[in-house]
Amino acid sequence: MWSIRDCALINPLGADMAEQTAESLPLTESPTRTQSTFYRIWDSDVCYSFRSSKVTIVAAVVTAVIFFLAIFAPWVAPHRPFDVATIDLMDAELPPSWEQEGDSRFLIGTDNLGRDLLSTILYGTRISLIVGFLSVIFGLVVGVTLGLMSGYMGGYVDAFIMRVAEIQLSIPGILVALLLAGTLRGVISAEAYNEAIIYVLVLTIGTSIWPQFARTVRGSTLVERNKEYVLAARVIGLSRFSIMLRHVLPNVMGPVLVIATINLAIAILTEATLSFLGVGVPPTQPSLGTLINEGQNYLFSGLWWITIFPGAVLAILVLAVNLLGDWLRDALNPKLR
Amino acid sequence: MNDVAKIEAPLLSVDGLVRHFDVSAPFLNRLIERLDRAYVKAVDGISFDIGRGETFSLVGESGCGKSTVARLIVGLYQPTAGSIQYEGVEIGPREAAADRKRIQPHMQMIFQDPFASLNPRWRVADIIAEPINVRGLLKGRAEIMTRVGDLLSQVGLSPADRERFPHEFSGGQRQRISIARALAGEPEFLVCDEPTSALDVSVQAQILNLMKELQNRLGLTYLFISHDLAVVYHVSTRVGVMYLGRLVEWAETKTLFENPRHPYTRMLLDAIPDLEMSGRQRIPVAGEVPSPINPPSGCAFHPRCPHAEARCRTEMPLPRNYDGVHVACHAVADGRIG
Repeated sequence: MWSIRDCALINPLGADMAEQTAESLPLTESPTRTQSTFYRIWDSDVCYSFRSSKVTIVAAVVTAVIFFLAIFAPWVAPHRPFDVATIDLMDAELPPSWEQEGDSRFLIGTDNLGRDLLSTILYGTRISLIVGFLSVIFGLVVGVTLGLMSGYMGGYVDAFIMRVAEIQLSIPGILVALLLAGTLRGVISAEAYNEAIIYVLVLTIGTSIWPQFARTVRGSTLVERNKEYVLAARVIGLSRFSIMLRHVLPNVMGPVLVIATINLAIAILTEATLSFLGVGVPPTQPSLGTLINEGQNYLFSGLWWITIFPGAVLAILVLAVNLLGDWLRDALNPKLR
Repeated sequence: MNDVAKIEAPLLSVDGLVRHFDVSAPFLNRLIERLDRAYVKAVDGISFDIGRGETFSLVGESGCGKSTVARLIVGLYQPTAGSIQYEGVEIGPREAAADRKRIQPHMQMIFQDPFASLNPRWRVADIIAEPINVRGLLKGRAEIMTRVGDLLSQVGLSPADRERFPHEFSGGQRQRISIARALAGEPEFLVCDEPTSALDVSVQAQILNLMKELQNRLGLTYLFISHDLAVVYHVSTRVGVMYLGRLVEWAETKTLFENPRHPYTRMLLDAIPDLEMSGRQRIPVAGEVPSPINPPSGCAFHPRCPHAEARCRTEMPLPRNYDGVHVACHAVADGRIG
């Protein structure tokens, strides 16, 4: 009554025939070819979305130009605004060269101290970018580490880290920075303060953005840690640390790149805000925010160029970086396409 | 009553294994809505032995706890209660962590989904070399790469595939890579959690034949988890049928398939399609598997069982040995069926 032959699926498994098809499968492609194919596919996918968006191309070009000019400011800039010996107070407050009283040596005029505004902006952008990048790197390292631990370990570690992140998110970053910079200014000497201020800015801005990294990475980690390749690594006996670092981390870094780009714009903006409020970098080595702050004192005296030009550079830079971030988010996330 | 016959010196011995998962609502909800704590009884007291060199299969519907048993044995979950002994060494409870660490390298696992079980960012060579590196079996890049090439040939792939990424392979090929990775750690005992259920029928056959061949050549012992009775019949020495976290019947494969005793086993075998149109009377598989959070009283199968009576609703049947066939059923014990 319970005959095995009734079980139709058993016999057609046909052992011998199946083995033959396995042998004849074409599996011998040369490794170099597959590698270049892999990169070509990967490249073309992202490249296509890049090429098909004119806005992104313009944003990329603008960002590249600003980055280039800022990085190579000492070679590109026509003057050396931080070298007191080259500055003449007689040149102060000159309007752009196309105005009647303009001086052909100073293309977009000079500031209230007689520094060439174009050179000062280039050097200022450099400081803004340095602070922005360092802050993002700091926030990224802290956030990714804590997010990975939080997501992978779970339990009390997770609860603790996430509560700290929420507290952090509920306090405005600028408030923390004001408090820290203000306290520091009272505690240490002016020279030491000028030395330390960049690190203080990096620390405070970085602190205010790490929760975003932590939350995103935690979310992706929660998904990855239950995937079978992580379970396989656990069965193999790999340590927790190695699994987090070698298996989970590479698979959660996609969104991190996007957040990093968008946060670069936010960090630059925060630095400018802090400098504008007077707790950022000092006027002797001004960033874009400091320049805008300096200039706004003279805005109603008719010296519009001291504020407008650094302001425009800041706005264009932040906009371009933001557009790049948006594009990256769409390009790396096929679901949004 | 519970005279479960033991295999002589089993490789793996599981006794009264229990795993409950806490699925309670959060504390505040419980407090305000007056809810009780809730547990999924995924595995609720399972005992079996696996002899060296044999293939023991666990079958059952989705959600009956087969995969949980597999994961308990390889240490991915901690058992709530019960013991797991490997060559007589207790490795189940948390206190036995040191022994578990020592025994762990003897076991490997093959997973169900070949698309999720290989890290998409790693090259095949690194994936397969991982157990070798973790166990420190070989030193030196060249030596390890030769071994990886050997393993790939053993599972029917080419040594040149070392440099490729998992996404360049088909499901069957990926499962071969999984098997190669499992073998790289030189295990004695392989836990296979539905290794073929994500594959086409023809590819299933290849993988099963490969596994059989490797078993003969390397003297491996398998715990094989599947819901596919045809596959189970093809590979196993002995079969255990699970229902809602418990074993309801276990016996030699041939005995179980030719003469199923438990009503649930009969139901499962009846559900296998039949090409010969024998016109055989079938008992259709009726109803759904009940919720393991709130399982039926008595015999968990009674709501779906055609032979259930009053006693089945109140009293849990214990497994009894009938000439090597273990069945947990009142109807069989009373001689009403079988």
